[in-house]
Amino acid sequence: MAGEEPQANGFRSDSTYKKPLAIDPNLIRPVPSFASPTADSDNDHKDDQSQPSTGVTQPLVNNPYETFGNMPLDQLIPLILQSRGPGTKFADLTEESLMEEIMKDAPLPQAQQDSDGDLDMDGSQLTNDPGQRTPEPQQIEGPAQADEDAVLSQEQFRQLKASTVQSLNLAVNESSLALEFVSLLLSSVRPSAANASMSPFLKKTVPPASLNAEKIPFQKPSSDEVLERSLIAKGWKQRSLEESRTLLKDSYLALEKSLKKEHSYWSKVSHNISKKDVVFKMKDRETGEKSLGIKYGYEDSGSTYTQERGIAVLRHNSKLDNLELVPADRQQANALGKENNEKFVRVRIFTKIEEEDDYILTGESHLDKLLIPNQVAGEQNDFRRQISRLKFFIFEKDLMYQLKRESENLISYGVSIENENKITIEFPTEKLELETMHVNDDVIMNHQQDAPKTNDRKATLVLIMLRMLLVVIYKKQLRKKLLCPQTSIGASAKSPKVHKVVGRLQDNEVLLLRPIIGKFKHESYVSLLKKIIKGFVLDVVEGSSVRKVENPSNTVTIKDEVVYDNHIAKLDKEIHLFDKILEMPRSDLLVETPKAGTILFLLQSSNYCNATTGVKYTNGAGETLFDTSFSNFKELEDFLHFIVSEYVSGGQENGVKYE
Amino acid sequence: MPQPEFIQERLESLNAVDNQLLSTLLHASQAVGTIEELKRGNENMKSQFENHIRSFYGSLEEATVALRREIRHLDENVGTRLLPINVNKKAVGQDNEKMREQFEHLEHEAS
Repeated sequence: MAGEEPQANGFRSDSTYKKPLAIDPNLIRPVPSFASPTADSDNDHKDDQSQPSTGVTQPLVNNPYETFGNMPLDQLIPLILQSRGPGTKFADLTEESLMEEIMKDAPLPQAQQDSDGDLDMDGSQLTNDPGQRTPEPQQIEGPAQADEDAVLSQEQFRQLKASTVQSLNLAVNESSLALEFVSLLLSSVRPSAANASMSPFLKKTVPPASLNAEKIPFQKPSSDEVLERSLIAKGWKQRSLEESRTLLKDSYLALEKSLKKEHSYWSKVSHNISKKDVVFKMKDRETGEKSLGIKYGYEDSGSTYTQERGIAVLRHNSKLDNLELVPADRQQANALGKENNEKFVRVRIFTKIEEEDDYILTGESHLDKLLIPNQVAGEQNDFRRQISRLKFFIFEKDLMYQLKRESENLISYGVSIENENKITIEFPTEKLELETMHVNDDVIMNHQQDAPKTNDRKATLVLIMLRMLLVVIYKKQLRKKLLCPQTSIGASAKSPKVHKVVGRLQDNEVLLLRPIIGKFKHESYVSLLKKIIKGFVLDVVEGSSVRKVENPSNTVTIKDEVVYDNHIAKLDKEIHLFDKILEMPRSDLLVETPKAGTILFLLQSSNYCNATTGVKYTNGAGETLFDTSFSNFKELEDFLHFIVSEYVSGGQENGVKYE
Repeated sequence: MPQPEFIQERLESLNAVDNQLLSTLLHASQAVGTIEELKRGNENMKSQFENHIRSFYGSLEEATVALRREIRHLDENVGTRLLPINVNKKAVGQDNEKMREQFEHLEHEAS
């Protein structure tokens, strides 16, 4: 009911309808007519508020009565008369007759309506143009719903009705909302008027005068301004185009540069890397770039050295335009502040000076040619040389590592680890020094300037032998892996297969120093033994002689094992090549006396380094009188003295006596 | 010890793909440049713009075709010329290399 008032006011004050109020339901109407049921349901909660003002529904409909009702009667009556045809009098019209007419003429208005077209259109035409009102009254007689009722089915009618009701409700909602809005807006200026039209709900929830509005004059921009703005916009566009062009161009140039680098990298890689090299993808930790790595370690060739990974990054040095190999470990070492990881093993021989109880250097192993820097200019940068150097150094480190491992158990044989980089082996007359040296100019210069020494060759041979023996160890490791691939590298396998015994030593034992020490020691043992023999037998017994006897068991018999794998057979063959070197040293010396039979000395070793001497005395009659062994030369001397005096010389004496 | 000819060829053609992809960038920048000119009102840049766009698409297409071809080469050669990708190559035979080297030294010393 509150909503009715302003509308009524609006109609009255603005009879021309030219400028409808914002809340004119007729303007809102087309919208709700299309509203979906969901929109309606949204508005449901507001219905409580709008229900009391059901009276509003009537004016909201585009009802012709509304407009006609507002006409002064002196206009309306002639209209009615006109529509009813000439000759009728207004006084004759009664409600009953009209009702009758409606019932009777139901089809007629519909036909007219069809020809007229849309109902709404008529309504709007009417409102827009009050001058043309002549055709309107026909619609008064036949409301649309009633007309269609005749044609439409009951169901359709109900649907239409429902949708109409829905639209109406919606419209009510909208309009009351609009009213509330206007009321609230008005409440700051005219509180009493606003209060009257505000709904109780609004009053309760929103304080009055909380909404304000101001009139802002719309300034039409001048043509200069318009021009300026469009210019600025255009300028921005131009500028961003320009920028994107230069961006593209710059990245093109940058990429071109890096592509050139990339291409030269690949061409260098393809020229320098052979099929043999193991190249794989890896990340360069220093630069974070994806790169290629190359494997130079001996891991796949049987090495068990794990202190260096044996992997290097292939890096392109753009300054020198060549390939560089940077070992992965060196990167870490650099981070730790350690530099120059290049070490090699040097063997030095010192000879004892008897009088002074001191040693002098008499031999030094040769330097590998890889260590001597660029004989030919630019060769140092040669890529193959870099790989060779890396291989060389890792091998040398492995060698030293294994040497140290072996030396730990040889301390009782004059082998001592002096420090991290140095092992010394003492012999009665000389001293062997194995040392890892850092590669630096001084070492190389000194070596080159030194005059050749007597034992240089020996030292070099020792070094070569050590390296070869390490390769043999690799090969044994490879064979072990092939024989029982399930056991991991480090674990000493307990499977009986692995107990392939060379001498009395197992496959996975380090055998580097001992064969060499054994050879040296054995040599000195032999000379010692000879001295003893000379002193105790030859000098005492006339006509006796000593000679070396070939040991029949010395020849190595290669066991004919059934080997299924070619690789294993090949490895076996290669390993057997070294059996001669790896076997325990042994010498047989036979002393023959003219009359009193022979003494056979068996000098051998159980672990390369020690010495046991077997003594077997056979008298002239072929009887073996003594067969024993000694590990101490002093005891041997005593025993010899006993034999010679008791049997050999004694026998002679006896013989003389018999004679 | 350079790589075999086939590998060299592949590298060259991959380099060509690189260059083509690079030239798309150049064409793109040229196209944007001509658009700029067009916006300035230089109407006779239209044909140039068209050319640039055409060469942009052209080089892009060539690059993709060439790349596909390379991928096909890769697929065809895995298992014959190349190891399967998931198989790592082992650095075997370095023991023999070392042994041979040491034998050479030995020979040198012994002579």
